[in-house]
Amino acid sequence: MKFKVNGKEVTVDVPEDVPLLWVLREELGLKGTKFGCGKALCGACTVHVDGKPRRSCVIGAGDVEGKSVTTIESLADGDELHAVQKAWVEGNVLQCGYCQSGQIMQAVALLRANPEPTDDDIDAAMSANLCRCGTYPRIRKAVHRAAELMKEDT
Amino acid sequence: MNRRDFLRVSLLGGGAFLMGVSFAGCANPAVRRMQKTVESNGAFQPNAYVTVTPDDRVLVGIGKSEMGQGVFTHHAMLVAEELEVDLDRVEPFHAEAGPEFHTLGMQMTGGSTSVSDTYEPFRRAAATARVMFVAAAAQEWGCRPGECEAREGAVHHKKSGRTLRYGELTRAAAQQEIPDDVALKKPEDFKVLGKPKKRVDLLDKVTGKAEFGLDFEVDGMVKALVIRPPVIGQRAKSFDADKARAMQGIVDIFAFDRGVAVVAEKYWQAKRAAPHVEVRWGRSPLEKFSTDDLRKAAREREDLDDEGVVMRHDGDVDDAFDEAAKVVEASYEAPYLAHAPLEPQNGTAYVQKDRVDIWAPVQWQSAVQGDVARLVGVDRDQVHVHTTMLGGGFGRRLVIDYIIEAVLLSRELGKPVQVVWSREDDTKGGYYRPFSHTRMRGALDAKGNPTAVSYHSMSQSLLDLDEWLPTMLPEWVPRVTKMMMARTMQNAVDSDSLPNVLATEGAFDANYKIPNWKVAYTQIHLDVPVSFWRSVGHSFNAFVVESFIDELAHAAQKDPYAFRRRLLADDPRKLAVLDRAAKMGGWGTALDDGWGRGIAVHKSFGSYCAQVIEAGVFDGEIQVRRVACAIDCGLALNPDVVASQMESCIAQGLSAAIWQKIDFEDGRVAQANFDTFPFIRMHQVPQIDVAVVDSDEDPTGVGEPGLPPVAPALAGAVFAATGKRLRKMPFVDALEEA
Repeated sequence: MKFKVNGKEVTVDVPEDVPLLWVLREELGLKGTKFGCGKALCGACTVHVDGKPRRSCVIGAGDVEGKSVTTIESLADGDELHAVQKAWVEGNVLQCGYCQSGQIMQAVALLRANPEPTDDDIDAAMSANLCRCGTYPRIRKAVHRAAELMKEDT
Repeated sequence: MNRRDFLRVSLLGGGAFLMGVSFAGCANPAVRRMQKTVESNGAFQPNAYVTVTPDDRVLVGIGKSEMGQGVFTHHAMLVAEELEVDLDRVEPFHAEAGPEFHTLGMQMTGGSTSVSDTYEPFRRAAATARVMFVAAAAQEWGCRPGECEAREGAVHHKKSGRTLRYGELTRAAAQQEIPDDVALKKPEDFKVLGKPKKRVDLLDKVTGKAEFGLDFEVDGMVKALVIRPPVIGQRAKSFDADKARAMQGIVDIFAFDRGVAVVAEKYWQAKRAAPHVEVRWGRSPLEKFSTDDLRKAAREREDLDDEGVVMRHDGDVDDAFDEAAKVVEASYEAPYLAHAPLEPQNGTAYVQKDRVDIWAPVQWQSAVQGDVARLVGVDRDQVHVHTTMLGGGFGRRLVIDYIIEAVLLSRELGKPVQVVWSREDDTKGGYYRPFSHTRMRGALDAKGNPTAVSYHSMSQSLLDLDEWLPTMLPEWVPRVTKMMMARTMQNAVDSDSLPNVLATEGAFDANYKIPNWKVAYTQIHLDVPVSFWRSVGHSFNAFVVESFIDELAHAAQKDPYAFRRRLLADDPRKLAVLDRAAKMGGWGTALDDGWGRGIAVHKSFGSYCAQVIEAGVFDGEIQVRRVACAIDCGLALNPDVVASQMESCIAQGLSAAIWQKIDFEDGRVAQANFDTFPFIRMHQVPQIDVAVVDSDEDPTGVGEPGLPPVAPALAGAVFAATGKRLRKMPFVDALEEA
């Protein structure tokens, strides 16, 4: 199977139904994407497929053939963090951090589609991402802050 | 050189990790080790906690587990404060487990003790290093240490303005005497502590670089999935794996204590093969067990004359009930609960002839060392425990069943093995917060003053001493003696003669000024594995006690806040958080139709927490829109992290109060994943306001004390809004029955 991961063409030799999550983690060594539930119930494994947020634990490798996958590893530009990551740092958002790759990928996708989300928009977009430490109020604030930072950048 | 390389070098360089923290000059082995380290790599390491490298890095070895509660940040702050370096420069890491990290005789992260246990030792360790740097610089300059000042990672000569960076002084510092006693800063001089600092683990965690247990990798490692019995306690009688064995990547498939292990080069390969393994299971004492039967049995038992083990009896409740103008009675129930940390249980073990290595998210390193040593037949110090980041803990990783699995599998295969649990394994795998059923009776006099409270609860014991005591006892106690002591004490627990503090905490130590107060406990004997769950006994006892105080207030026709105030007049700290929460939460002000407020206050882990919650029931669903929380945890080392722990406790407390339960049906756990064992989500989370009370007292717990008040404050709010008393968690079930 051939597809792009973080801009690079990759070829993997696995059966089509192997979840993308495990392809990323075990075949490509990209471990920033996390395993939480295996059933698209927690969002810890959220990546972008052709720019859209997807739960990599339930997408087969065959489903991304020819597509472009983006993971948390490609978000920062060298030492320069993405606006969403910056907002997360500013807001002291995280605790154990295990869900945060997925939260951040989901937030990046939300802001790309909707640069000025309301609280309701954030609720709707982020409700699929579970944070077992309960950092939601800080995530909500940080999404608003990231929206500001992105506006300043442009 | 990155941190890990550095550690590898220093380990090769002659045991750079000092065993046994010693600050005294007479500790010759410590001095020798310090000198060996500096000779091998130039690093100054006066004790196990603090290392300064020639390139000015400050490495801080941490024995507590970072599971989100912020222990890396707190410990980095303690060191930054007393060593006089910028917080940005401090690099905390999980040090290999060892006696130098023992507090109270063991290495464990739990009971909200990470800060209170280490507040002084870590500062002392850093201050010791600072004093030695100053002495080294003074020697270099031929002046008195008093003429020098340490600040911003360097020693300055006040008069001449000369400066030497710590990195330039590592060799000279290692030649200084380790001082006996160093003066610690007074809180009023703190520059770092007490300030809302950014967490030190933010960067690694927003970039996906932080290494959790599941991310760990070592050469030659294989992955294992365990096919588990449908009923806890069943063992595999036989299995058929011919088809699975032939599948890609499969290393081995075999039965062991915990089920059938499917071992493959990659986890996804094991996952694909597992459905093709057919297992026949043996019997388990739990196979007929259902929670409904347990509920019924507990309800029936409360009518019997059994009063259990009396843990406290002030005055005489029987006399008080005889003389009461009014008697209030109520029964409360709390379900079994899973911890459900987001990172499923996992661990990597490599068993070799005379050493065992463990890499895992774990809360109780001493238990790992003790249990693995016993299991494999090596010495405790041959069990090397390397703690990874924890994707949540909440008490679940105090139990090390998943690590024992990895050890058993590695011993069998002679390779490093990573065992990976699925979410379903995690939910169904036991060590639950115990089910509890509590009978409350209260008496009021003619004026509506409460005169007596009687509490009698039934639950399983958390004191599983057979399992734990041998690993907790000091190493010099012979193994056989440990086992015998454990058995004797366990018998005392089993026979109810050892009163069970954990089951009744929050009730036996309640301090409402009610003259007759009785607390009794009856142990339920069952094979359901139970364990510590965030805030432990307080998680259900605060619900019971605080809800019942509400019921007494209602019977006395008094406001629940005013009623509490009078009964807590002797406890200024509790009263202060109660008042603060009431004020923040707008207690007594008007609310829209359908909404109500509830209030609760509870002390646990040395800290005082009060909450006012606004909630209502709309279309049959509980909605929570606001939580006002006041916390007094003594000196708040990092008020923003304290606030974040309150937010976390509130999220978990609401989830448990409203939705969560583990139910057994014919021995099988009915819940499996986050659809059936839900946790609160973004759209359900209320506005949360936290006030951290200013205090000069020594720091106390924050990881748990925010949780106990949540359920009773919410139940109070629902009562105020609807007139329905919710006496059973989860509230969705109680609402259905109400």
